[in-house]
Amino acid sequence: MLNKKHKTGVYMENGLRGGMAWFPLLLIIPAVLNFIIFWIVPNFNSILLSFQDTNGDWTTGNYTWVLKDLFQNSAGTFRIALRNTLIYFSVSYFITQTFNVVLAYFIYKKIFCGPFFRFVLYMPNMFASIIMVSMYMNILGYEGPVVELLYNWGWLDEKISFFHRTQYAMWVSVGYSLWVGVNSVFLWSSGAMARIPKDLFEVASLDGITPFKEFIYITLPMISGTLSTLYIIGISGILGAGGATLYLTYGEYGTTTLSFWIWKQVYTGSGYGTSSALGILMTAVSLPLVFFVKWLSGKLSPEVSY
Amino acid sequence: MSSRVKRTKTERVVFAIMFVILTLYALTFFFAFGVTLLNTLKTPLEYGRGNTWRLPTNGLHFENYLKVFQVLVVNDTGYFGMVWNSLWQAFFETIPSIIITTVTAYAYARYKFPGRKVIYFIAIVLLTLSLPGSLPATYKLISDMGLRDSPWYFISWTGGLGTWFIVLCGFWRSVSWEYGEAAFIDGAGDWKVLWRIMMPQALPIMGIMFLLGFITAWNNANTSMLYLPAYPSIAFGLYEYRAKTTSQMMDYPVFYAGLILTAIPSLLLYGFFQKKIMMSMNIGGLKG
Repeated sequence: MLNKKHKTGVYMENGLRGGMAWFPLLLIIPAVLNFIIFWIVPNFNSILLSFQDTNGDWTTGNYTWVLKDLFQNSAGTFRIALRNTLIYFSVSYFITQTFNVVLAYFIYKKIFCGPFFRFVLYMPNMFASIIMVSMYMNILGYEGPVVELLYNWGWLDEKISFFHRTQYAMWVSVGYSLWVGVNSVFLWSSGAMARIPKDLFEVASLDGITPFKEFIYITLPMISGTLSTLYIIGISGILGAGGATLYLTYGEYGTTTLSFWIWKQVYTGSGYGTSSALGILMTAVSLPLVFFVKWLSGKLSPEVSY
Repeated sequence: MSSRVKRTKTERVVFAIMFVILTLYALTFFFAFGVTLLNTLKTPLEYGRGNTWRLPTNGLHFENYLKVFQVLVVNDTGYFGMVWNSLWQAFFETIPSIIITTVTAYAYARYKFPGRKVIYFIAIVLLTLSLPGSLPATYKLISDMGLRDSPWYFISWTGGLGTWFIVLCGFWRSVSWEYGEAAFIDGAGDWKVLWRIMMPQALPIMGIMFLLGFITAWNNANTSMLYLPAYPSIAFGLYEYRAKTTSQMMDYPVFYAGLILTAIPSLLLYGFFQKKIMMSMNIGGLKG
């Protein structure tokens, strides 16, 4: 590697080419412009919009409305949306994400038919949500096999559509999220496991380590860098969590979530003030959580180099 | 390592239990897919009378697949029109973004310039900070800029600092710089080194990015729904047909046939490139 000076006309510093700053700056201009126009500007505008009513006059009414509905109205839309959002988040963060890591481990350890499971279980990611949702709704729908089975066994008094009953709609929606739950976490975890030096497992097996201990004491620590990043990314989406609400129930029957409520306001052109205020509040809550989990993951999983 | 893995008794039990769980899990997908396939071959009457998951009793109606092209019309756009919209939207969603992300990551990983660390910080912020609340302002901005219902809307998709930026930074760091250095010594300029020497090495990873981006874009209903309703994509079209048609008027077997036809391209791409897709996250690594 060439060092700092122009030995051969090439200016290098710590493996980086220096001396001609205009060239890299030219390369990054499109990305930076995109970031400013389509990220900074909308997020700044969100703050302004959250303090405006439908006529564009300044108000704090949007925040008052959201907070009142959230804290004073037990049957309010936002209270229900927050509850559902937290349910979706918990399922995704604690169950689905963990299952993805465990699945990656078993396939990495060459479970019988592993490539087949990998192919089939990841397949839903390849299809549009409307396709998977339609299949799911057909199975759990009014005339579907599940309802028929439960009805014939006497577990249901009458044939019903789970998606159109408030007491069931949210849970079948969560069930859908679980069903199609193998996602990119599986790929990231598989990638991280594939980079673990094989010698470690060989030495451990000579010492007679059990599979459970191997997973806990070798695999997890070795992929802790990837895992902590995934859990930080996961926590950042805490208040944006939601399944396929749009396709399953359109937020009806007590299934709305915070992010779906915002989306619906935009889609139906119902005004931007309240949805922006809700968005700002969501960010204000989730941002400290991200920093907390980042700090915590730094404490719990020190960087492993290999 | 030998192809046959030797396991202890405990391991065999644990793996057998997991095998049973995964087999049952996988079967649910086959069952759902099989039922959908059967439903495409029924008459609307048979489906409407409650045969939503058993074998067809009134013959096999393959003509439902032809009816897709007559029945599925959304915003005056037929099935072929929606397929065409999905295709060009997928290209505009992916190609510019891939090129910009690749060169931005190259600049970061290989050059020293003022504000270099800020670029990476922005990428980390974008990766870890999900802001669903900015949707109304984004929608308003797109509308105010006249990008709504315009193919120019995809300017907003060029990105460059998303998750792939992080992956590509890892990739560029792993690529040997020696060819580049040699070219510099021989008098090649920065542009020449980038396009003639470095970019060809990135083509495989750019191919994976295109593949994943294309499948995501093909399945994307939200873009059409919010920003390009005049150019309905096939995923949006299927949603809109189901949402806007009353259950009495809806031809479910034709709708299911539309689902199957729409799933075929993704399924083929997945089948052919499964290993590449699975390896995609193994390229640069992801570490906090």
